[in-house]
Amino acid sequence: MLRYAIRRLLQLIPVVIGVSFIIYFIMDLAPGDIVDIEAAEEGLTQEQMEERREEYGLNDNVVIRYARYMFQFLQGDLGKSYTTKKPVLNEFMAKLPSTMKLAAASALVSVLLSLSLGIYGALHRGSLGDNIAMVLSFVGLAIPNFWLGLMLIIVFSLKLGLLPSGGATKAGAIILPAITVGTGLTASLARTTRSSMLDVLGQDYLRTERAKGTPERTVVLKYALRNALIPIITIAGGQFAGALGGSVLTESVFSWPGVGRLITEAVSARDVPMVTGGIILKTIIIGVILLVIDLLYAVVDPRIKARYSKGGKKRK
Amino acid sequence: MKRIALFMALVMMLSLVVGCGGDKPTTSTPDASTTKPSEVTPPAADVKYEETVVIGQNAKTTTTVPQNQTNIAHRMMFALTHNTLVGYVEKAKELKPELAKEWKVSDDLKTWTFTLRDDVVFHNGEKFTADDVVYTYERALSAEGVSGTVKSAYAAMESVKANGDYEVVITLKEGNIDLLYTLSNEYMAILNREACTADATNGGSIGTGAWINKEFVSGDHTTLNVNEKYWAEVPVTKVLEFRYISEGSARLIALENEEIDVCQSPNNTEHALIKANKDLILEAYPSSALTYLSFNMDTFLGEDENLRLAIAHALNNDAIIQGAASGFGTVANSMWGIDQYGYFDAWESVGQATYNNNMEKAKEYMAKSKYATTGVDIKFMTSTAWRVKALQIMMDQLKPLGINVIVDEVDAAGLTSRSNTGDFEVLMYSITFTPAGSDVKRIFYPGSSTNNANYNNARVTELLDLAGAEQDDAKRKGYYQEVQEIIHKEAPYIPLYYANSGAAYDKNLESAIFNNSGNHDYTYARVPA
Amino acid sequence: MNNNTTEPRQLRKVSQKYTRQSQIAMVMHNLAKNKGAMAGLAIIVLLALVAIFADFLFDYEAEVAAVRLDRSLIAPCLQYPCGTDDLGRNILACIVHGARYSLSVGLIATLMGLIAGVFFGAIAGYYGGVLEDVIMRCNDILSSIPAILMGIVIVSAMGVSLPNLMLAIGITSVPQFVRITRASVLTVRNQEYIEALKATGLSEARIIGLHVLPNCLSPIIVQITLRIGSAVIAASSLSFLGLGVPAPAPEWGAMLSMGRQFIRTASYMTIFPGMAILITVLAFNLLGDGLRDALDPKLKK
Repeated sequence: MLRYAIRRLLQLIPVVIGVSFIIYFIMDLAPGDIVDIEAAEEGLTQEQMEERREEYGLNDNVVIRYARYMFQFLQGDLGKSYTTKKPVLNEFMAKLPSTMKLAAASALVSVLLSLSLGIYGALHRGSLGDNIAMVLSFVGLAIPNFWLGLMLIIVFSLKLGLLPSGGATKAGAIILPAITVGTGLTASLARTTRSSMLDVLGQDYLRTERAKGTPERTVVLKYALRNALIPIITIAGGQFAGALGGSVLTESVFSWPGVGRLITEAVSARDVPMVTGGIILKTIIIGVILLVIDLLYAVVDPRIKARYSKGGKKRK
Repeated sequence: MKRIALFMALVMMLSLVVGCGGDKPTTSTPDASTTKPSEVTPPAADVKYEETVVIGQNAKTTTTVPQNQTNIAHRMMFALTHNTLVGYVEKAKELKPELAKEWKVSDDLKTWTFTLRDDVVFHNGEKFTADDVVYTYERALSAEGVSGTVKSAYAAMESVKANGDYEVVITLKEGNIDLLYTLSNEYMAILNREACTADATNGGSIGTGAWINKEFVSGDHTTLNVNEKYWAEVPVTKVLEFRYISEGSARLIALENEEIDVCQSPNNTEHALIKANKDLILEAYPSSALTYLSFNMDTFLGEDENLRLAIAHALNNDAIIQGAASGFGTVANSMWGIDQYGYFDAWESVGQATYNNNMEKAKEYMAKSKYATTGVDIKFMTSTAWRVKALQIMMDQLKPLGINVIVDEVDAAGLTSRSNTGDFEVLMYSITFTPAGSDVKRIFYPGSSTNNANYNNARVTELLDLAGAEQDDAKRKGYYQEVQEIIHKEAPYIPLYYANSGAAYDKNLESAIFNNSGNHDYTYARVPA
Repeated sequence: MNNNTTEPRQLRKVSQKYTRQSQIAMVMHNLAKNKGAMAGLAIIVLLALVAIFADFLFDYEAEVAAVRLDRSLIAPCLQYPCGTDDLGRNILACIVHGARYSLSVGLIATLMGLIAGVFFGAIAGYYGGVLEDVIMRCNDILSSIPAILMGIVIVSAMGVSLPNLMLAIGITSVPQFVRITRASVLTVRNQEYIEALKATGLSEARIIGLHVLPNCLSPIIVQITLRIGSAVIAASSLSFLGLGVPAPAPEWGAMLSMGRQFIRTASYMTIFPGMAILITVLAFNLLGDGLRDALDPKLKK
């Protein structure tokens, strides 16, 4: 299993290089660079602009710039942000905790919602309630995130005055953004919960339990859910990774000081080191999280563990 | 199937109900009245004040070092933590002594001598002396990350010399009447030599101001602690917090929820909500940000003055303000800052017509244009949604002249890059002028990177130079008026409007000063507990 | 299937045709039983009709393109069921005309992802080896960049326009198609009838195109429907950030973004386009979900 983990981590290397290559070159296609923006802000003269370009090394060909960037990168240096003049790594790490918090809270919201919808649906299969539960889970997916965010602010923060409208400093500030992101992740998890509950509910051992007179609540929550949990966990882990990537707009609506906003703002500021470095770091983090989930999965399910130990080439 | 359909119908009905109820169209009358004069009053002795005042920012700040950034959002912060030699009171349009008690200037406007205060201490405990002024000059020219504007301002100085501990002599390369205005900009704040030597990156955060940088998280918040040893009156508020909330609606909601005490630049569309709320005060005013069109004079537009004038006269600025700024703006009649020195717009008195919505004149000019019979496609480049909205309105207004407006939308970086390289036909953009008349050089001087029109008129250049070196007030104003007359007649730029800006705040807030430039002064802001 | 290979070619084709027809009939039968899917289908058909006949419903020049400040911000009423926006445009007319943009972005972006994804996925699955490794590695790279960030970077870099928006969303939908196609090709590739076809000397392109892919259709079809939904959402998200379709096109996301300033004073400006997006995406998701159940025999109970 350790060997598997190491191999997965090594596989991240070409991915990271590829990502940096794609982002760096696309950013180069963009009209204008950081010096153009600074020129507009500061009223630079043509000579000053030339000087700045020299300072930033923007006068070289993109291939040379990328090679230089990668050379530094391989030494663990992601460079400095053009706008804040501070190391990209520090800027990113400063914003990472709040993004992680939001992702975790969103995943939690999504798991709670999906488990309730999915279990309800499975227990009342085919009923009106089941149908509504499943449609509801899709509504979460279909609502534009930012729109839901604004609506939630109006209702819970303005009309009811229950929760803060944004920022990360106040207690409870995480609830609305977590609901916004979480509902968007509910659909597939609710479906999976429902179908894997259905699978399990039909099994013989549950019938035995029921026959033994175990209360229905215990049967469902203790025996059925526990066995249905494995596919649910895998998807929930994916949700966490998805929330990490998908919270960009929510962060902006709720003034949440996260990584997504950092990168988005860096794109419009043509802060190439920040954009490239930010996306690389995000990629690595998501990759590691997915690996951890896979390993957890293996811990939960011995059959899978056996497969890893053989060093099986089955997994992607 | 039926149930689902029923559900969907329900959802639709619900939305209709929400849509119909409670929504009234906003009033669209421009409103620039100040509801409460803001001035600094002494705190009452028997009143307890809140420990913390929180301000909701509309623009983020990226540094706490004055020499690194020059926009309004940053200058407002620097004004709290630092001091300049000379201060500027925007409401009174007056310069005032700050770190320099008094000054004198030689006849050629080249040698300026400042006498400094001797009772000022930096936040790190170092005494403020003439050497710090010299250091500030040296740092601007040599340190990493210094803004171009700051560099240019100091580069105009031949030398800065200390004469003892409390006298400084600044010698300029060329005489400049506006030096004091330049020095009053917050990015010219005086830094401490010891602090900056000890910490090259952040040492510049240490100043002599009433507030001390406590915590700074770029793009999120800045916390300032009061400077109990401030050389002037010490504020009663203990902590000043600036919180960056990018969404206008969210910012206002935060104010209504009492999470913040001031909401800077609330959405124009939500002014009515603020007025309806008894606990809030709205201060709306014409900002000094001028929205304008510039014609690229190096293209076919440069050769057809009649076409430019036709467009200038045909545009209905009121309708543009209505559409793009929800009615909150003031029509601009001259390519000049509304509060700027030398502003002139009495066109009829000099035999010219005011541009705004004069279709008759527009048709006269169009008839003389090369494209009178054929009509013409013109690409209007701009960024951001509200400017695009304005272009849609212009599209409508110019159609009768046979002018077809094509919207050419780019993002901010693309816009500056293409305007720098001259890769556009017409540009819609805004500029904020400083109060000094010479600031218009940025748009009229050949070779300036913000001269978007690539405008080059020898007489205008000459007049600007003459005005810069002129001590006589009437003569200077005369030069500036002639500049504006020439620009109005040749129309390389069309001024459109000054967008109204504003601030909403808790009705209990006291002693905060809201300025037209958006550079508000919160030094003594306080809220009774 | 095994027997087919020994039978004459003609006969085999006929039998395949029959099994295919009966399969389709069965799928349709299953689908018709799924209320959600049928509702979704009905909505999609309706939307498509609205988009096609938009010009008959509302005059574009008068109701959508023209600036009419004299009738700006009218709350929903009989004459303007969804109200008018700040420039005096009829919001219902904008939504009807906007259906064209939103649907075409959804369709074309998905089509781009589909073509590229199926092509590479089929090659990877069918040939395996180094080719597969390279394709799947590249695919990992592409899929590990968060889609919205990728979209932001691409549109910012290439400029705001309809084709660029489609391209940005299309590229981000490629990885899913690659993975699904490869996975289902893998299950088919080693079956004996493919081996047999190879023995007949049929060209590989034909084998893949005519015999491998048709047997992998179900997951791909499901993915298409689901992708269209998420493409509509993605387009509106990018438009919300000002990276969508340039003005004055009434794309739904752009309408939302215009209306966000009025979210409290004229909420109908955002509610109706928001509902339009919600209903459209929901419809595609319901249909996709129904199709998945109908096509996947394992779920039949």
